[in-house]
Amino acid sequence: MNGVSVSKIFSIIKKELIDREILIEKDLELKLIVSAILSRGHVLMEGVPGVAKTYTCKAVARLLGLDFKRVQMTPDLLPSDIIGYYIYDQRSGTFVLRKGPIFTNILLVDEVNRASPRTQSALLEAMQERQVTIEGEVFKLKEPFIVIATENPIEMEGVFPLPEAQVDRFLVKIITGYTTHQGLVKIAMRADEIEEAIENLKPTLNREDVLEEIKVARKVYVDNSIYDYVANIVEETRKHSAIRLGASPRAAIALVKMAKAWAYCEGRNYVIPDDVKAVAKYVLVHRVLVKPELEIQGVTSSRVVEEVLSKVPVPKP
Amino acid sequence: MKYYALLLILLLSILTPIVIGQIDRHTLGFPDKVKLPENITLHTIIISDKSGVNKSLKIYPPSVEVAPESIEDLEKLIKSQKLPLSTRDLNRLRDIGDLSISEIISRIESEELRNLLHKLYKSNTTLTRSELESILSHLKTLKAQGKITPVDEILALRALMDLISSGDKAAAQDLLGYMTLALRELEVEKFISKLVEFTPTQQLSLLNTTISEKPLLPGMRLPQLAPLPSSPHLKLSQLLTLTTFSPQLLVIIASLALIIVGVVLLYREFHLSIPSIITYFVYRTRTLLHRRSLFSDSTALSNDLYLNMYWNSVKAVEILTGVKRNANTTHREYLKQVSDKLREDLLVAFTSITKAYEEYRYANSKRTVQLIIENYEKLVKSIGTKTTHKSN
Repeated sequence: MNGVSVSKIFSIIKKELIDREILIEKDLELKLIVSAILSRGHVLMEGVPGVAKTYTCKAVARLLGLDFKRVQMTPDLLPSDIIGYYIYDQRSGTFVLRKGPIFTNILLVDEVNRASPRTQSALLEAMQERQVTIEGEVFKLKEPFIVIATENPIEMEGVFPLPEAQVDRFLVKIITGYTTHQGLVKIAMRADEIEEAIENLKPTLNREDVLEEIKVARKVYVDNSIYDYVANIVEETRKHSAIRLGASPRAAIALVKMAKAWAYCEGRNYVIPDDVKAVAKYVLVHRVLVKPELEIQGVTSSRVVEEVLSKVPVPKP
Repeated sequence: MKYYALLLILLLSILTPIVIGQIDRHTLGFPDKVKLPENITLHTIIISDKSGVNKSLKIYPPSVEVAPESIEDLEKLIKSQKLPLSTRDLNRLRDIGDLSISEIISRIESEELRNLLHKLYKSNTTLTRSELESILSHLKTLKAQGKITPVDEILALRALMDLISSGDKAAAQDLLGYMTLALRELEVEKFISKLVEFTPTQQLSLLNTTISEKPLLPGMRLPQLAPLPSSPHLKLSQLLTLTTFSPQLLVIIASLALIIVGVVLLYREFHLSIPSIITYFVYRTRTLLHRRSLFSDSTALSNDLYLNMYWNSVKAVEILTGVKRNANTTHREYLKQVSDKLREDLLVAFTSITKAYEEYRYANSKRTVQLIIENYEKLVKSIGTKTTHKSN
C-alpha cells in the first residue's frame, strides 16, 4: 500500500487560504474542517465573537464550489424557518414548497444554543438522518451536507445548552480562539484586503470532486492495532474517575473516521497512531462529561482527554 | 489416600494464587489496596498504585483551612510548603508580597500578559473598578484558552494589586480571593496529574474521600501523593537466583513441593493423566499472570524480523540519547523528542526507519523493508561510537 497524494481539498485550501494568509492562524481549524468534510461529519465551533468563524466557513464553501447558507439562531426561530414549509399560492391554487436554508451543502448555524430546544432538535435530526420531512413528505438533503454550528462560550443567559445526546452528533468540536499579537497586527493591517480576497475567491473544485475525495478518504487503510488503540482510548474515558459520562461507541466511529481523513490530508492512505492522537481531543472533548464537583474546580473534559491520551499505550510492536 | 488427594487439590487451589500473587507483588506481604476511612483524620496513609509501587498519601493538617486575609498570609502559606507546589512554581511565587511590580511582571511567562501589564504599569494611572473588571475578564479568557498558567494568573493578580487605588480595600480583597482560587487550582492540577498513577477504583475512592470533606475553599487539604522508598520488584527470575534464605522463599518452595506431590497423588489415585493435571494448573496460573501483564507495556517483541529491527533501533536510540520512550508515545513523538539529541546522520537514519516502520506496520506494505534493514544497520553500528550528540 503506497502513500497517496495529499487530499486535493486540503492542498487547495492550504494554497489559497493558509499560504496566501487570507485566514491568519487558522491552519488547525481549516484542517479539522476539511477532515470533517471528508468524513461527512458536522462541526461544532466554539469561540468568542469576531474570531473569523463565518469567514472560515464561507471561504471553504466558496473554494470547494459548494452552496453555503447561514442561519442566525434566535429563541423565536421555528423549525420550519430552517427546514422549510408549504405555502398556499393563490394564483395557482396549490401549496408550493418553500425550502429552508437547510437545503444547501454547507450550513453555518450561528449561535446554535440560542435556538429553542424544538428548533435545535429539528436541525440535529436533519443532521443525523440527512433528510427532512415537511408535511409528511421526505426530502433527501444534497450531498455533501455539512453543518458548522457555532457556540458562544461566554453567553450564559437566554441560551439553551445542547443536550449531551445532541452534542454527540457533531463529529468534532473546534475551540477557536484569538490570534497571537503578530497575527492580530496582520489582520488589522490587511482587513480590507482579506475581506476582498474572500469575496473574490473562485471555486477551484466542484461538488463532484468533493464527493470523489470523500470516497478516497473512506478507503484509507486502518490496521487492526489502530482499531484496538481507538477502543482503548474510548474505554479509558469511561474509566476515568473525573468523568460522569464517557465516550460512546459513536465516538469510536467518529475517531476512526476523522483519523482516516486526517491521514489523507497528511498524504497517507493508512492511519498511524499520530493521526488518532491529533484528532482525539477534538472528537472526544464534547462527548465526555466531567463530574460537576470537579468541573467547578477547573477540571475540564479537554484536560481529561489529554490525560487519557497520555495514559493509553500506542500499539506495539 | 483419596481424601488426602482431594485435600491437596483444595490446598493447591488456595496456594497457587497466593504464590503467584506474592511473585506479582512489589513488596511481599504489602497490602494491594487500602480502604480509605470515611472521616480522615490521619495525615499519612499508604496505598499501592496499579504498577505495584507503594505511595504514601499525605493529608494536610487543618491549620491551612483558614483563608488568607492579606497578601502576607498568602505568602506565608506559600512559604509553609504545605501546598504541593513544584520548586519552579515556588521560586516564581517567592516573596510575592514584597516584590516590586516590575519584578512581578518579569516573572510572568506569557508574553501577552507581560506586555499588557507592562503597558498598564507604564501608563502610571490607577485602575478604576470597571477597568479592573475588564482586565479580570480578559485574564479569565486567557486562562480558558490555556494561554496562561495558574502561577501566571497569581502573579498578574498580584501586579494588579499594585495598580489599583490603595484605598480600594474591597478590590484588594477580591484580588486576594482570586489569588487563593488560582492557588487552589494549582493544587487541584497537581493532584489530578498524580491521580493518573492510580487505578480507576483507587482514584474514585481518593476523590470521593477528598471531595466529600468540608467545603473546598479555603480548605486546601488535597492529599499529596508521594512515592515511598521501596524495595525492587520481585520477579520469578529473581526468586530463582536468591541465595539468602527467606520465609517467603520457604512458602514458595513448600508450595512447589506440594504441587509435585499433588500431581503424583492425582495420577496414582484418580488415574488422571499428568498432562491434563499440568494443563489445569497452567491454565489457572496463566489467568493470574495475565492480570499482571494487562497494564504493563509489553516488552516482548514480535516474530517479525523487520518490526524487531525498528524496536531494536528504538533501544539503540534510547542508549545513545538517554531519552526513554514511554508506552504512550507515538513513533513520531519519540522521533521529535530525540531529534535534537541525535547526530545528524543518525537522525536521518532514525527518521527514515521510523517512517519505513510506520508504512510496513500500519499499511501492510513490504516496499519499505530494504529501508528498514539499511537504517537499522547504521543505527546499531553507531552504539559503539562515542560522539552521539550533535556537534555544535
